[in-house]
Amino acid sequence: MWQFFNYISLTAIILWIVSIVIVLSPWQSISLRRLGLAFSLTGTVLLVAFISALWIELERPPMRTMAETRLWYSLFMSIVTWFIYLKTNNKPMFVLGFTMSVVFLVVDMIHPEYQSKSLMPALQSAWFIPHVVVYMISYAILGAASVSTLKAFYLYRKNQDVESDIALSMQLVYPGFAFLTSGMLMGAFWAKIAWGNYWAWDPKETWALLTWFFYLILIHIHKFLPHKKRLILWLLALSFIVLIITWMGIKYLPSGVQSIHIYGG
Amino acid sequence: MNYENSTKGKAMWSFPWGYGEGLVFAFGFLVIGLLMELVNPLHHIVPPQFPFNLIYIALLVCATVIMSILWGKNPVVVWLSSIKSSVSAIILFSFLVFLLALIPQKQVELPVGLHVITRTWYFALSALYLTITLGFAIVKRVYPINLNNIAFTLNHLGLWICIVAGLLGYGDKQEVTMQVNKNQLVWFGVNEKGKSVELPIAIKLEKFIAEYYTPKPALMVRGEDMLIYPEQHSDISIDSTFCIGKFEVKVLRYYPRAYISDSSFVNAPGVPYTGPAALVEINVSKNEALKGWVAPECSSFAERYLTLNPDTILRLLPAEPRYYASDILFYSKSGRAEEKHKIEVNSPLRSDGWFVYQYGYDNRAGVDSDYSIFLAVFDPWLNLVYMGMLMMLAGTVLMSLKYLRKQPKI
Repeated sequence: MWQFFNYISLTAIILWIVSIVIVLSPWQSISLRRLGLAFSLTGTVLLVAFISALWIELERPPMRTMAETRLWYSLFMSIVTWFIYLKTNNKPMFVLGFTMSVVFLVVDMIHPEYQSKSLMPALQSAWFIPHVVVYMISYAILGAASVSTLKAFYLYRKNQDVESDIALSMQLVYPGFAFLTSGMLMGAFWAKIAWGNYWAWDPKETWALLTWFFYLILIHIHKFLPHKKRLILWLLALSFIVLIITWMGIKYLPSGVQSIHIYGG
Repeated sequence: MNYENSTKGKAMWSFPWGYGEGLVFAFGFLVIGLLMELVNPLHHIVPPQFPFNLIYIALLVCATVIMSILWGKNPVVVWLSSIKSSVSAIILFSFLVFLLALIPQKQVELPVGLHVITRTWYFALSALYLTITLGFAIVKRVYPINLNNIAFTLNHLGLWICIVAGLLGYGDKQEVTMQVNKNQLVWFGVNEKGKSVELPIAIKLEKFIAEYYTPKPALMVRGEDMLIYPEQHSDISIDSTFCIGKFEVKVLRYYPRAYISDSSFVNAPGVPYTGPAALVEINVSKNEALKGWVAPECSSFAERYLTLNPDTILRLLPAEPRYYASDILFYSKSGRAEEKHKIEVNSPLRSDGWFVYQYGYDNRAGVDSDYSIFLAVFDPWLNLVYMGMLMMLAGTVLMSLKYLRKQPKI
């Protein structure tokens, strides 16, 4: 299935780029908006079809390697962005969100990684799919929040009002944080069943906890010091950087060599 | 004026205290913890066990509740139950989690316990500071009962329970490994200090079962960190040819179990202490074909690989386990005797508060392993921690829904 990946992802990327062009076109109408939504959704559906086919071919959930998790991220990011545009008509979010989806697909095209069929016994658990899916949904929602932050940073530097952008980011951070908490706790329940301890201070777990604490601080600061816009923007950005390190950067850290969570492939 | 905004522009340490005082407290806890660590490292002290850990928790709860009720309007208590102390406590704890995330633990001994951060005074004090501020905030919000306060209490009390039960319950936790040979009855385990510990449970190993994936071929190129794998999902037990790198490989024979005889491999189905091997043919240049055996190391022979050119070798990697489990007879002091069980990865056996896990086996012998290793864990605080986790989850979901419902449409 992976041999078709480049064709499928290229088609999805083209559909998403066309939808971005439609959304940004100077001629605005309801039918054009619908067309933009339809094009982007087709790209997403294509990705769903590819992931499903890959799942069937591999005879295991395609969630084991970094390339596979990037696929899920790209998918969830496109879904989250699509819904945000549907609800808010926020064009910069649409452009940045789908650009992020495109970037992750392109990275997968450049580094497809070895797609092994094997799945180690510890990963053969009922917790595996919900744990990874919930985390990826959370990462996508928090990614969308950081995309909104990018726009807010730009406006903030131009001394423009960022109230509504911070509000949108925080409307994404709350559900993202709920998913993050669910993913972390599911991981803890699974760890108890698989390895004997719900928490072992494995580097990945520790970074996941750190990510959780960053978003926790952000939520508290936003609730009690909403006028500290600059601080909130920086916390939004920093929290997402910590999230990305948790997801992709552990193996490059000195503590990472101890982790049992390093992606296969 | 809102208390949260009422501290702006006031002198430090004059009431009401604000974020500045909170950060000084956090820094103070850190410094005191470091000094205590220098004088008497915490990991040299036995962690509190039942009933002392329970007494500490009861004292913490009583002190928080009594102070909140009797001196609820005292500015220090007001400050302790406010966000101003909580944020500093979260920042201090997060800072230590950040150190934990960066510094490899339990490897090389480092000054002031940086190699065992979770067993240091400064970590304990930061957790204490966090639980104190959390405790006061919970008592403040537990009444009146409404949806807001329920969500807040579930979330914060859940976190409080997880921290307290997880850290103070550590002393009551027991974890041992049990290596059990076939047909041997074992009722003791070895703890992390290497000491043998008698257990209230016993295991007799009847059978060890393991299944493996077909071993994967891979190219190793001098100077390259990464191995090169076949382009497709090649299974050498099925596929007669596969492409790897720039080479096309023909699989002439594949034996899942083989032994060496006169530099060749002999098919040996069902024979113990044998391993997989494949006879392959590769066109290394236009006119030259190379034929030979590749096999991963196993208990009866060393690895066999093919040198394709001075920089490249073809290997058959060690097979990855697909499944392993143990058929056992289980006994316990509570009266369970000769009960047949299968212990699998992700499916531990539970008895008398103990969880028994399939942990390992003789990797070199693989399916022929004569023993199985089990991990037995006893954690009497587990259910309390689980309760805390579920409360935290419920509270977080409720608070998110509440927040989103309150927001105007953007």
